[in-house]
Amino acid sequence: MKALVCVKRVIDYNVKIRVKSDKSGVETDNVKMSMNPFDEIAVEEAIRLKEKNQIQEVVILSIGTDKSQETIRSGLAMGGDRGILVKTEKDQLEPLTVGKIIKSVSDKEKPDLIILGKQAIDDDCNQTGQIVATLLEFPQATFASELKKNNDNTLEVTREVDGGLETVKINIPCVVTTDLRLNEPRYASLPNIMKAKQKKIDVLEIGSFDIDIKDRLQILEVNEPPERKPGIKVDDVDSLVEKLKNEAKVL
Amino acid sequence: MKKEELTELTNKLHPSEYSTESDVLKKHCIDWRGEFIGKSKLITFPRSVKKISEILNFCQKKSIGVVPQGGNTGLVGGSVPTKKGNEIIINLSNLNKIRNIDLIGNSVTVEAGCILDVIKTKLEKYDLEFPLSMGSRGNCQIGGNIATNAGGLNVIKYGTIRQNILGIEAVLPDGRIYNSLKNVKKNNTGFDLKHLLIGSEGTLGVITAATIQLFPLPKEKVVLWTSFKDFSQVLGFYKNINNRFKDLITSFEFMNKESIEVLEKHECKFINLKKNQCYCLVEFSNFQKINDFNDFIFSKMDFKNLDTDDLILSKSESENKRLWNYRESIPLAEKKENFIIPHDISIPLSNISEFVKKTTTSIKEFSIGAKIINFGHLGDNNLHFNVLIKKQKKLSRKSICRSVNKIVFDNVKIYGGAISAEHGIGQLRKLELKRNKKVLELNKMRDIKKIFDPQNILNPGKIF
Repeated sequence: MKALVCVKRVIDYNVKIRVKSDKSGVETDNVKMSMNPFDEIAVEEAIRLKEKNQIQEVVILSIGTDKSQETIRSGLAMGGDRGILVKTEKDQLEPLTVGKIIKSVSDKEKPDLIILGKQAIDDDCNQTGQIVATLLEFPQATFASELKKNNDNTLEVTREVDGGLETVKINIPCVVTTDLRLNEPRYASLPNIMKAKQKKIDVLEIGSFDIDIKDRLQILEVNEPPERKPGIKVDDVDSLVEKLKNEAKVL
Repeated sequence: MKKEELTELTNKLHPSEYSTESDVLKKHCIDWRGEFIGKSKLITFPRSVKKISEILNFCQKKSIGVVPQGGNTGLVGGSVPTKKGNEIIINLSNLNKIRNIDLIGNSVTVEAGCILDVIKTKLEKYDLEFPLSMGSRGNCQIGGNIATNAGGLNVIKYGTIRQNILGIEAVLPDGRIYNSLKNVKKNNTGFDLKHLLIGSEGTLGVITAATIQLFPLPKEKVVLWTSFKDFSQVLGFYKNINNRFKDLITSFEFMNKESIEVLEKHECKFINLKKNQCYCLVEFSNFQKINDFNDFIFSKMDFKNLDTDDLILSKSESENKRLWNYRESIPLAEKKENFIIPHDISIPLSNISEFVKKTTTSIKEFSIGAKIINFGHLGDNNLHFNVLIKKQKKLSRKSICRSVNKIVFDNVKIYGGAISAEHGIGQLRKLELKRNKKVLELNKMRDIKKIFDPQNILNPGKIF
């Protein structure tokens, strides 16, 4: 069994985002970049399946500029077997384009499990997994918080849904998107960083795919959220009620 | 303090600038560790330097003791009044403006009550690093940091706060305002009085503002975590990487097995990391906009002489935070133990291994079952050598403390260290200071105190 894990290079989760002065996007120069945390969970889960001998190979795929090799490399340092970079000029592509590229790679690689984060923390689209499943006509289990492989070539996936938890059984090959509670990703240890250096990353030019990567959406302007006003103290309950009624208009 | 005096003093203040309520006073009379519980009838929260000047002028005339207080996060009882109950508190939290940020000279002028983390966050927007950080940064105030010459987590790179102070404004005990807020690096015009105020623990003047040198904010930080079988390997590792990375290292922290045990007992689980005898956390900062910083660190490391069982390099800021959280939560975990005898000492690196071995043996001979929680800023020779004692029925807490302190501090003396590395003297280390400091030095310190504060109204009962 083979797993294809899709990872995205994003601005580090803990970096304070700054909007560019021309409002065309957010500042990415001189900013720490890391693997999308949800994708990191996907890498960890694939490696755990491999450690349980339920998967034989973990392939890490990323789409982006050359720098995305760093992101693939950190997945390999966690225990992935090899990498694929689909090289593009820009880091941001729309989910449908990404979905088509993943389908194309998947047609060649023929993975039994495509696993990826439920969303990327930069654009928060939460679309790629679902699009990939649709294009490939694979069953999907999104927002996974627990994953178990059965002997009859099915996966049992617990999903985090609004009402609580839902457990579904899906046939392999399939697409799984990961949620935060699925696992705690491991650190990259020195021996594994060393091993990762020797692992292969295939670089495929986006031009070799017959896919139109033109954006269908146009970003007009990016703005910072309005600054939160400081709170005030009121003297008593009456004035609190008065303010809630007349100023905040919530009562 | 007489009732009329209290009324006269409070009449000078706006109602929001003071409190005589016991609930408020209680909170400000107890130190962070809960070891020093003082008494006071009045706490003031002045909103201007002028008000502080008026308060001090009045207190000097009436010979009323004054305790300057910042975030009250000190560990030696320096920021709370004594048990006598005749001192008032000047709390600086209302004096909290950032007066000026100089983007050409890279400096900032802040008032004493600014919270360290607030300053740091504000400056990050300008890509500037404030050269001080510590576990209490969310509560401690810069005035207190300066009054105690704070060290913290980045001393290996930036030095203690003293090294980066360009100027100080302070109110002297008679109410006069001393102002050396010059924004220049060089100033050889006689004795540099600001250096007396830095680290004076509130005994010479009330620091109200300071101008501090800033540094470029690194693009990113990477944390290396590793573990060792024994302390000598830690020192070997320190030498190894200090030679290779010098300017890029912004922290070098050490923790022993017992530190992690107490952490796991009270604070958080230790996830995805191997257990061992000693642990090191090294923080590298990318000041030079190096591409793929992890790979850079990896490629510069000397693996041949690396005697480590386990080493990881963080791959995201979240991992940095998680790893730092282990180190920074140790004091919080310790606080939940029933009986800990803390020591904040510095020992020359060449002697530190021998010191730890010998002192640990002596303490275990004295008290079977005692545990030594060792952690600290190894890069600055600074060790927190804290002794966790199992309660013994026969001996009182006080006498156990005295014996343990004697063992530790006698060895500190033998191995050429200092009895207080960064926490200061306050009330906790007065006796040890007398025992360990040379008479000449102590007398000169007393002389200086008399010149600044002839009536001994400022933070009485501290240091001396």
